[in-house]
Amino acid sequence: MKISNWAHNTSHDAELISPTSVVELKLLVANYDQIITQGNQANYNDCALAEKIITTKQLNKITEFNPDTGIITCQSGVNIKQLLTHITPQKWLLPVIPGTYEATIGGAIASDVHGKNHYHFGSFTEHVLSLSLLTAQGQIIQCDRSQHHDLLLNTCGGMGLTGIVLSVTIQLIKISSSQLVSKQIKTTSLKNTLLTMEQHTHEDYMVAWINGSSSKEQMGLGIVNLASHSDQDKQTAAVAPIKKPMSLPISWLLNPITQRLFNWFYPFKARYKIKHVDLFTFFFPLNKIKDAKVLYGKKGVTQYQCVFPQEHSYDGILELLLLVKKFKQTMYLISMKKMGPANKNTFSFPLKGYTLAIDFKMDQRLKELFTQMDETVTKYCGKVYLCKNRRISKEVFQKHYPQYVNFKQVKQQVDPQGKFQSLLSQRLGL
Amino acid sequence: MSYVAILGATGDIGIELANTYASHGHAVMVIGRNTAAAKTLSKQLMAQYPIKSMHLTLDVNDTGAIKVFKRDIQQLDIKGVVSVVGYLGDQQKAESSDQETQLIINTNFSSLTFVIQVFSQYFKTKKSGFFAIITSVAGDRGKKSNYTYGAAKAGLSTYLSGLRNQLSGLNIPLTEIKLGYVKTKMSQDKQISKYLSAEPKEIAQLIYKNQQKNKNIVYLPLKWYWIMKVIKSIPEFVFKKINL
Repeated sequence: MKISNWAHNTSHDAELISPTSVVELKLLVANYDQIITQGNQANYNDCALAEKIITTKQLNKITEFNPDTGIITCQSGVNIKQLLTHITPQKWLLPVIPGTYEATIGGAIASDVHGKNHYHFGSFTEHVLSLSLLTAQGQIIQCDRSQHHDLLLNTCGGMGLTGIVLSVTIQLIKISSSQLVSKQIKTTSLKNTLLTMEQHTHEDYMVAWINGSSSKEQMGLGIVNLASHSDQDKQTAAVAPIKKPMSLPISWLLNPITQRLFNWFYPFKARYKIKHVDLFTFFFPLNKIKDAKVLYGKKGVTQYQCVFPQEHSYDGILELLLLVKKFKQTMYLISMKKMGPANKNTFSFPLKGYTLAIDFKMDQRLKELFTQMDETVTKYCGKVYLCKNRRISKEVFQKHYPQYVNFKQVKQQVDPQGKFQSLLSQRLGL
Repeated sequence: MSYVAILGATGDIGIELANTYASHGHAVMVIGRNTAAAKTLSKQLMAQYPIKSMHLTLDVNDTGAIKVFKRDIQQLDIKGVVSVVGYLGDQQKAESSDQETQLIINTNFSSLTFVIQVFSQYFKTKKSGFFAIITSVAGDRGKKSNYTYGAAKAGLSTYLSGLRNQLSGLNIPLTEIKLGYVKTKMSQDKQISKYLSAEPKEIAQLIYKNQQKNKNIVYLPLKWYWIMKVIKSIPEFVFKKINL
């Protein structure tokens, strides 16, 4: 069966194994020499593709939730949407929320996802108190900050290569309301965008949209979206209803012309100064459209995401944007987020600085562009994000993540036979 | 995915049975005493047939393991159990060794009933399932060469008859298969006429067929039904003098 990722930019002939219980999963895994785990396949690359794929979709039980302490334990196949609908009515929230609610908790750990508030709360795995991991030898290891800490640091952000995360305990944060007060600020240049973001770090959430069709001189202008939890909670709106996603299965709808139109039109929305939005509307704009990837056509979508340290953010981001402009590629969606400091995970992506993510329609000509973009990122001491990247070379990877040596050592200990392997790990020699 | 559990799957008949079930598209749960052999079989099944398979280690004589097993299967979806568990043992040795006697009786009867009990509880809660359990023609009448084994199998037959009675209202069929001689490792030392013994593969296919038809008691190969009819009809005062 052909299995592809969310972005539909790559697919692989694979067998999908879907156990319904931990016992079944453990017993099934014992029979395979090489396998990789998949959550809800919400990624952009080949990190969850292999010949044999075990999916945790059916391991989706929330086993324990203490509404007094905000500590929740769930199986790794629980997705963000399921978790949020369970906890938000009780005024608890995940400290870190990724851009799609389809992602599972297991996947969020494997990719160590970040949200629109990294400068406040860091990335997802920093809030994981403990997790249980099924290793290649069939042992179930309980990892936390005091026991098997090293394994924890390599499992968090480890792309599922250390084993299968079975259950996770997370510390949630208390919120005053699930309603957000959002504000949008129009900016005039990249410098202005960065400055605006620097000035608003007191806001709970922040993300910038960059206009990809602006001229060279104005490149980097856009809208900074800010949001904070509302002080008063309207009881009626406490539980944000999830609207049924809109179906737009028309691939030609998205093209350079409509993109320009959108870029011209979108800033008008920023005229509305302050508005109240519900959680799901703010966090998951992409989920509003069902199968958003279909818009990008048969070849799918690819994203280039990288991070630059604070001091090189301006130069790095500007150079990247101009580089894409030079290659005459349409940037369908550009977003920029402020990042806090790195964490201790071996494959920690964040750096204190700014991250830039650009969506492209999948195209063979992107290869050369991406290679040059990699060089730029390396030049400015940045990093590319593993979870979004389908093609980064082994050399670039090793430059951006020199800690891979540590990872290999831990992998050797817990999985000497290399049972957990994906196309990504084979490509990067992990 | 629901599995057919094969108990004692790593024996000669067990391997053939696992292959037969797999070839008919059933997911197979290989349960055996020997982990390595169970794993090899399970992997072979997955490689050869488009089915799922898993393996579990279980020694029916290990009560601790049965407890763990009981807990584990609650999380699994099992649609039926085929048991090929059996231990012929050595009658002569058993006469002087308590251990051997115990092993023969436990493996063929008492311990096995514990495992069957675990499954019958499981099927009762699930309200579906099937049993196919192998006993032996040796249980029909005791003879000096293997009466400990025969007695244990006879006990099992009686147990199964009662269980069938209980399960019949719940629509959980139980098929008892009384086997004659089969060319396996268990019987390799015996001098058996070619006419009387059968191949494991042929037996496995017959077991599958009869189980699918939800038969109650079958003799395999069929000729053993007539042979045992004759043997059972021999008056005791004659039988006790016969050398069988």
